[in-house]
Amino acid sequence: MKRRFWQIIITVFVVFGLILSQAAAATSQRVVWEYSNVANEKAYFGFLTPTETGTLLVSKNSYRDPKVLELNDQGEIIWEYGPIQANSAYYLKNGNLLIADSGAPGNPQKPRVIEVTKDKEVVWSYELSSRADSPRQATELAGGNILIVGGDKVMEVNRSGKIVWQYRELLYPNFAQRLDSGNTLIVDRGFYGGKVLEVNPQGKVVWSYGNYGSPQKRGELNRPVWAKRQADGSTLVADRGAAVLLKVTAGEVETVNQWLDVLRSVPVQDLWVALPDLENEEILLSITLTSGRSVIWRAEKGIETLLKGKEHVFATPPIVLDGILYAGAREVMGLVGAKVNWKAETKELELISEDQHALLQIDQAEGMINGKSITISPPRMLGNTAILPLAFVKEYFGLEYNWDAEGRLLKIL
Amino acid sequence: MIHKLKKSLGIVLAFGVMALGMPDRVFGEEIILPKAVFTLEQEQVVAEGVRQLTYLGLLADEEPIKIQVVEADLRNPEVSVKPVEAREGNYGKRESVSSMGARSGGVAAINGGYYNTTAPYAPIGSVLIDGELLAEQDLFRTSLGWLEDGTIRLGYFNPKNYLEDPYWQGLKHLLTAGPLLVEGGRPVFQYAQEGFYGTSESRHPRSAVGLTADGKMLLVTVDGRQPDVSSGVTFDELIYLMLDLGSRGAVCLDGGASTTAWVNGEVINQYSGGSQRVVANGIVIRSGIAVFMDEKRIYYDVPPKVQNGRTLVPLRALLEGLGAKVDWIQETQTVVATRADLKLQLPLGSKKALVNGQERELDVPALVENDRLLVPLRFVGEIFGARVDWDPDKIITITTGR
Repeated sequence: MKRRFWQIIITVFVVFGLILSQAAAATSQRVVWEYSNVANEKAYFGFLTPTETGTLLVSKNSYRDPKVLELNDQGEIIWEYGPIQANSAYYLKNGNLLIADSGAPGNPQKPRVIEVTKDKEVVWSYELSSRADSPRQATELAGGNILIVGGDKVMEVNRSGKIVWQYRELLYPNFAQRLDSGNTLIVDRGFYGGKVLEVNPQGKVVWSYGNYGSPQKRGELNRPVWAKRQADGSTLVADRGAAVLLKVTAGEVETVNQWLDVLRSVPVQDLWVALPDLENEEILLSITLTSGRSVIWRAEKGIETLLKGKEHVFATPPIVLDGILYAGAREVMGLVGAKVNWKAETKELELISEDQHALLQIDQAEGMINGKSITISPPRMLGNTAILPLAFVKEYFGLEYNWDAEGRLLKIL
Repeated sequence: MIHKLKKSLGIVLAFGVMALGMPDRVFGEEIILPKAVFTLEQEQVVAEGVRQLTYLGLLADEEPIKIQVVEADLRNPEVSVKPVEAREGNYGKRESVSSMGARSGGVAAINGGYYNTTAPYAPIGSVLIDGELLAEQDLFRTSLGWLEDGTIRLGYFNPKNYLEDPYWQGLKHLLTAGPLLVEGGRPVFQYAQEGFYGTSESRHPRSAVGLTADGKMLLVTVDGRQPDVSSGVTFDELIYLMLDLGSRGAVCLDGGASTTAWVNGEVINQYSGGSQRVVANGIVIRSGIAVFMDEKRIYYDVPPKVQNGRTLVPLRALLEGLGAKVDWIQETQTVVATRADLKLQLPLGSKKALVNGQERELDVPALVENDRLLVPLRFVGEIFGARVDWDPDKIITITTGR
C-alpha cells in the first residue's frame, strides 16, 4: 500500500480541516489511510474485508443505493454489485464472491447467501426462511460447505442447500470461523457484554471467554466483533465497545492494541467495524461521524505502555500529535503524585506537587511554573480530556520514561 | 446492572402482580435479553373492537417505561384502520395527531411515518391512501400496507413498479416507515440496514405498529426522555417489547417528539417535546359511526346505534348542540326538548312523538342503552331545522344552520 502517500494526504487534509473549522479536538494521527463517502449520501460501511490482492471489499449500506464495493488502495471503486444490503463478502478461490445478503428491508429481497461471479451472475444461492435469520456472515469452508452466521445460530450448509451442522445456543452471533481441529470459534455479540465460544462438532462448548452480563472491568467483553485462534493456542478478540484487541490465554488477558484515542479524536456517531490487520499491526475502522460523513480508517498500532515493567492501560491512552507524545493530564500527573485543578471556563490547568506549582492553558505555549513564565508544547484537548506533553511532565515534575517511537512502546520507570 | 433485573422481577412476582413481559431465554443465571418487565396498569374499551391498555415497565437496568397500546380488532366489521395525510395549514403540510384523528372520524390515532423537518415537510418514503399515491420515494425501508381484502403487509415498496408486484396486488393504503422489528413472531435486527443509526442504541420515545396472530393491530407508543416516568427504549428493547405484546409482525414508526397517541379526543401519552408536534401523517382507527356537528367532532361514551336503517345517538350532545333545553319526565318516561316556541315530546319506547302537541310517527323509538338515552337523529335534527348528511365512511354531518 502507498501508505506514506496517504499519510501525507491525510495530514494535509486534517491540518487544513483544523484551520478551517477551528476544531478544538485533535484528529488522531494514527490514521494512515482513509476512504470517505459523500457527506449527504446517508450511507455507512457495514463490513470491511481485506483481500489477498490488497483491495478492500466493503458494503455501502444505505436506504437509497446499497452496494458491495471493491476499493483499491487509492480509494477507487474497481467493482460494485447492488442493490444489496450485504453483511459480508469474501472472495472464493474460483474468483467469485460469496455474499451474505441481509434481505433488508423485505420483499422482493430475501435473506440469503449468494455466490456471484465478477460478471454479476448469481451462480449459487441459499435462502433463509426469515429476516429473523438474516445472515451476518458467510464463509466457505475447506470442503466447499458454507458456514453461515445469522439470527441466533451458526450453521454449516452444503452446496445442495442441506444443513449439515448447526449450533443454536446463541443470542446474536456475528462472526464464526472453523478451526483446523474441526471445532468452530464463534463470536456472540449478545445484548450485554458478549462471549467468544469454541464449540466442537458434537455441539459442546469446549472453551469460552466473556459473559452475557454488563461488562464491569477491563478485559470483560462489551460487544466483541471478531476473534482468531493463534498457533500458540491463545485467542485474539476484537471488542467494539471497549475499543481493544485482547489476547486471551489460559487465565490471562493482555491488551494487544487499542483504538480508544482514535475514536476520542473525532465526534463519533456510530462505530460499525473494528477489524484487526494482524500483519501490519493495524486496525481497520468503519465510522459514521456526527456530521453524517462515513469513513473507513486504517489506524496504526496504538501506544503500548509498561509501568514499572507491567502492562498499564490508561483511560485516555497516550497519543502522538504533531510528533509530540501526550497523555491524559490527571492520569499522568497522578503517576508523579501531583494534583490537577481544572478550570473549565478558562481552560486552565493548575498542577500542584510538593515542590512544584504550574499554571497552563489549553492550546497555549506560554505557561507559568513557580511564578516564572515558560514556553512549552501546549497542552491540548482530546475529546473532553485535557492532555499534557510527557516531555513537560518529565522536565518539571520528574516523570521518568523511555519512548520507543518506532515500536510504539512507552516505558514509564 | 443486569443482576438487578432479577431482583426487581422477584419483587414484581412476590407482590402477585402478573408480569406480562418476562425473559424467556435465560442461560445460566443471568438475564441476557433487552427485555422489559411490565404490568398492566389500566385497560378501557374505547369503542367497539377497540381497546386501550396502559402498561408500566422496568427495563433491564431498572429504568422505568410507560407504554400505551391501542388495540384494534381488524376482524370486527365496525373497525377500520388507515393512514391519514396532514392537511395544508399554518404549519405547512403538517398537522397534529389529535387534529387528524378528530377530523377523520377516528376513535384513536398515532403518529405515522418519517418526514422532512424543513419545508415542504415531505414524507420520507411513500404514502398511498385509498389507492392514490400521494408521496413516492424509492427507499430501502419497510412499508406498512393495507390490501383490499384486509390483509396487512410489511415489506419493501417500490413506487415505480408496485402495480406489477404480486406482493402489493390489491393495495389500498400504504405508509413507509421502518425499521422492521418482528417477522414471524421472531426478532429482526435490521435497523442499521434500513438506514437508522446514530440513535439506534440509545433510548428515545418510539411508536410502532404490531400485528397479532388473532387479527389485531396494535398501535404502540413508549414515552421517553422523562427520566422518572419513562426513559424510552432502544430498537433492541422495542423489538422485544413488541414481541412480548404479542406481535407476529411489527414495524417502527416515526418516534422522538413525534410519538403521540390519541384516544377519543385526548392525547394519552406524554409527548416529549413540551407541546404536541405537528407531523406529516398519522394512522387512524375508526369504529362505527362518527358524528360531526357544524364541523365539530362529538365523542360519545355510548356509541351511536343503527336500528332498522335509522341512526340513534345519545340525546344530550345532540339537543344541546341544536340549542334545545332537555327535560326528562320520570312519570311519563318522556324526553321533552324545547327551543323558543318549539316543543318536542318523545316518549321512551313509543313510535309516537308530539311536536307542539301534534302527533308524529317515528320509524324507530327512543331507547335506553347502557344507561344512556338514544334518540333518532334525523327525526330530532330535522324538527329543530338541522340538516343530517351521511357519507359512505359512516361519517354523519349535522348542519344546525344556527
